[in-house]
Amino acid sequence: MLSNGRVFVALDTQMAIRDFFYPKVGLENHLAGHESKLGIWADRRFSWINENWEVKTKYLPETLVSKCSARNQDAGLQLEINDAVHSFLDVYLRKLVISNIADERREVRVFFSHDFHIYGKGTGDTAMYEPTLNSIVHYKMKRYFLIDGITDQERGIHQFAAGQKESFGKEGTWRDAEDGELQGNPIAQGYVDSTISFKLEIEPGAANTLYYWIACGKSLDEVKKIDSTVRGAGVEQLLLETENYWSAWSNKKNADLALLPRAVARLFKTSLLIMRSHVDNGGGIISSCDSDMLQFNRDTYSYVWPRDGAITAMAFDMAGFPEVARMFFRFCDRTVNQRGYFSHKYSTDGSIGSSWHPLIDASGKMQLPIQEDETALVLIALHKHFQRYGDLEFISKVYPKLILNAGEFLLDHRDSATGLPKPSFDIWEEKAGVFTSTVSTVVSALQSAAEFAKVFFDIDRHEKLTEAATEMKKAMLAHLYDTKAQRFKKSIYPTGISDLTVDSSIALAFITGAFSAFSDEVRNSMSSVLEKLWNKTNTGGVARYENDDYHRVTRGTPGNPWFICTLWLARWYIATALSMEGLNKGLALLDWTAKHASPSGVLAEQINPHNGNPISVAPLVWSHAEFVIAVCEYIEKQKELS
Amino acid sequence: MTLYVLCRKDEVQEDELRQFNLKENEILVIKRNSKFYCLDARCTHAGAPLAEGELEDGYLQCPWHGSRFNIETGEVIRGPAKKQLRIYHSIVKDNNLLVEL
Repeated sequence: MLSNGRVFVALDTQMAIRDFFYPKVGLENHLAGHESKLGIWADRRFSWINENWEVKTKYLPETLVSKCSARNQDAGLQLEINDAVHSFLDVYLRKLVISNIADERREVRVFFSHDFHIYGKGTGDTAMYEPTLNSIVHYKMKRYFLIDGITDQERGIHQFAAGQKESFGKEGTWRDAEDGELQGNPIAQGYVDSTISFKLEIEPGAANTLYYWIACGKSLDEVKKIDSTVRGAGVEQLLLETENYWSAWSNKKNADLALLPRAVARLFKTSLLIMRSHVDNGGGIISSCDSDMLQFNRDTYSYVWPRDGAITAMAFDMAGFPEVARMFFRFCDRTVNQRGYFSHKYSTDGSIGSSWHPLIDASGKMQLPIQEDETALVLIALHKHFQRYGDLEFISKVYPKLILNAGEFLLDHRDSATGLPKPSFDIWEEKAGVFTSTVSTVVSALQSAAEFAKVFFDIDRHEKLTEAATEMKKAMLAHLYDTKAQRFKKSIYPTGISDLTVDSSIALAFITGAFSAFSDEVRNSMSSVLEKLWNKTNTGGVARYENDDYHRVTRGTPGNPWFICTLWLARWYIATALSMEGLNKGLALLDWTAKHASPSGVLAEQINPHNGNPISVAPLVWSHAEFVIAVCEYIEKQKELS
Repeated sequence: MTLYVLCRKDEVQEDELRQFNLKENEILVIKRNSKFYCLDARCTHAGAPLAEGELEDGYLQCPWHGSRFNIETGEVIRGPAKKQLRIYHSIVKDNNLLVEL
């Protein structure tokens, strides 16, 4: 994942570009998951970078710049590649160092295919050769992508082809490349692609460098201007600028990381960078860019879930990045509706995203199709932000709409008979009911809203919100704590039936601050999580809930281990540690998380309980945010205990 | 110049690269053949975190662009870095590693 908050580029394991968002992260994917591949021709043999190449992908430490390598012994070639999106210019940059590991001088041609589907659709695209710049431009309406490059032998694009694809049996110009030659067709419209090549003469045992870039803009003039800037400064310099920017960014607050095991400290910084790459500069934080892993019914995770965003904002605040958290809170202030609640999810332009929550329940009765914890968590995150940074002037800007209306909504959306919230969909987005996890967030959010009211000297409101929080906590104990099983229930459904499934999300009872981590209710509940949801395999880790079938690998375990659920257990160990020995239980789970991250530091949603391989979406920003929060809590507790 | 405690000596293992921060200084500690070396933790070329680098043939290699440094003298063995790394004088006292600032 490479990003500057406007341009977002994701590469796959074969170094093909699969996602290309511009000008907002997560909104318009101009590749829509299609491949833009890298190919090599040498000794009259052509090869796309595929399974015949030994490919390794990771980041340069502390940066959002890639460090990839690809080696093909049979082809006698090795590639070292750095990719980046410049820190402020809207351009994707790629540097390739091509080593000739054969014994003779060789001509090597490097091919790049471009399978744009501008605005996420292939129709109406144009791909054209631009002769004055010797470059290729793909455009439609107000989106332009100019592709250019140069070798260290001062040669620009060697050959090119624009052509049609996905219709009348035409596969695309990438197929044309496979004989090492491109036919030079200068323009194509409709469903189109393009391929370009560069030619290098490489001595035996030597290496040459090729620079390649894609400038993004809303007009031809704009991309030409960026192209001129890149040519003037050079890709080498722009990469250095980007490396230094991210290194400075990720080291903004690093004093305490020396206390951590190295793998944990490394994943902490990588997590912050991956989280930041998913933040649109308009403040929306998408849950994942992973278009490879489509959610059901062919939808993606490239939306802003207020829950995931709020937890990520909390992580940014704790790690010392309040300015990023503020961007998200401003986004929330713009998107919260007049009644004070958030919809299921949003696009990064603030429009309401797709949803599977119906407006009527199974009996045809109307219901609010929301997950109430999403509204509550934003209020909680905002209050924690204010407690940490005390930026009253900022808070005063989001108080009149976001804080007041959300507080009013939480008061309004209560069942007068029980004092609990009315039903809404749960944290796992599966069922409607009154859930321990949701109620915990609402209790804490009412307390947060009450504290804000006190700050703004609205005493009546403060008292009303405080009373509601107190009553709801009592109601939670009366209705949602099972005295026989001695743990929190998962939920009560609108039918009145209680669900006693052990669900790791009952951890929110202490995570939100609704209950003390030391309370008997929490202690008993977390003990049941450990007993019922810990995977008793070599992999370990905590499942979401008993018999979780989502992407389930085997019936022999409670469900696949999830990073967020395992980190909730870590947070409980940390919160309740009274000695370094107790704290080490939390550290062991931080180590566990680092151990199961991908080599590039990506945390998936869940992992295979037998072999630890990632399952479902990767990265999941929420996984990274929980890790950052757990590490910050560990550092604070370690200081406290020592 | 004053000596300050940088870390406990058992916090750095043999052939490990470990960064510590002390009074605005980022200091890389390397333990090799039971001897401690303290150097600037940032590459003189582009500021890369050298604690993420590697020891190659006894030389410190930068993780970003591959510059190599002599860990005893800070001298550049291979570019693109041109400027040598700062070396911090250090001593082991009791169970601690102390550096001079």
